[in-house]
Amino acid sequence: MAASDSGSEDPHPIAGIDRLIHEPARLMIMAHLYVVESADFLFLMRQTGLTAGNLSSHTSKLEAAGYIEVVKEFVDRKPHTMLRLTDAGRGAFREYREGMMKVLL
Amino acid sequence: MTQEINLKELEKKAYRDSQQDGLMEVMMGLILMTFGGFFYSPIFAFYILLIVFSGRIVEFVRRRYTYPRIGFVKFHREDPKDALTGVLLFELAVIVIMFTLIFISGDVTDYSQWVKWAPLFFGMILVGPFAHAQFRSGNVRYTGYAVLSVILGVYFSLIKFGSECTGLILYLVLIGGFLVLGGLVIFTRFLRKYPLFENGGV
Repeated sequence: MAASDSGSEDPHPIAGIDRLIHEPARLMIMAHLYVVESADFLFLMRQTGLTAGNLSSHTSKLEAAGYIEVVKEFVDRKPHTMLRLTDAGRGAFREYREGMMKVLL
Repeated sequence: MTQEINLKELEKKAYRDSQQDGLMEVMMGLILMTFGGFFYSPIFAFYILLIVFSGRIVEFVRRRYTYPRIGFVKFHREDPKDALTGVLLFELAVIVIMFTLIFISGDVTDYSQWVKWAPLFFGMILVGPFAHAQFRSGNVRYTGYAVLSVILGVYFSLIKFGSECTGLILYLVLIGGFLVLGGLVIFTRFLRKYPLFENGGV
């Protein structure tokens, strides 16, 4: 998902910033999942302050990109969703941070 | 660097939020109270069961009251080698401090001196878990607990009681009771602050 369309041999570091992660809500989700091993949907909702619909929409995009793994299960006959960063997601987040450092410093 | 700090803060906040139900305080307080009771009567030997099953008991209550309100989070495991080294170094430091203290104030071979200073010994031991919780969560209430446990430890070590173990028993029951009460207050506030999430599960 990295955006790079300048065609230059030495593109500006900002061209390499992952736009999927760069969106504020998704960045928040990625950052919160980065510091833990896994979290359920409700915990992530509380931490990010996103609504259920918003969170669901953004996590679907991150899941489609292979950045997060979503496990749906039933606990006490109620649906329960666990989320965790995949190795690819962890790597992409690290790259995003390094990229942003280069842009900002 | 700012991002590093922010990620650390995010982790601390997640840990702090996961511990905001006060149940760890309640469990720790119960263990300390029953441990203190054990010095009074062997009937309180069930404190061992509390220690062994404390994790399961807290998890049982959290499944019913905490997770449906604030959700569930699993943290990265700390390196067992680092944790063990930290615990051993801390215990060693406490023993050295106690040894020095008793050496200065009397005879290190005198058993009654060790019993007399036992409240301070346990007070300093308690600093370990409280400091660890403070480090992980950034919550100052753990510093308060640590300071209180040492101050009460000094106080009950210096007061003279009729029986050798009375100071230690009173200390453990008092600090344990304080943690239980404090934990229950935090738990009650937690239940009021976070009503059950009504969405049929998420």
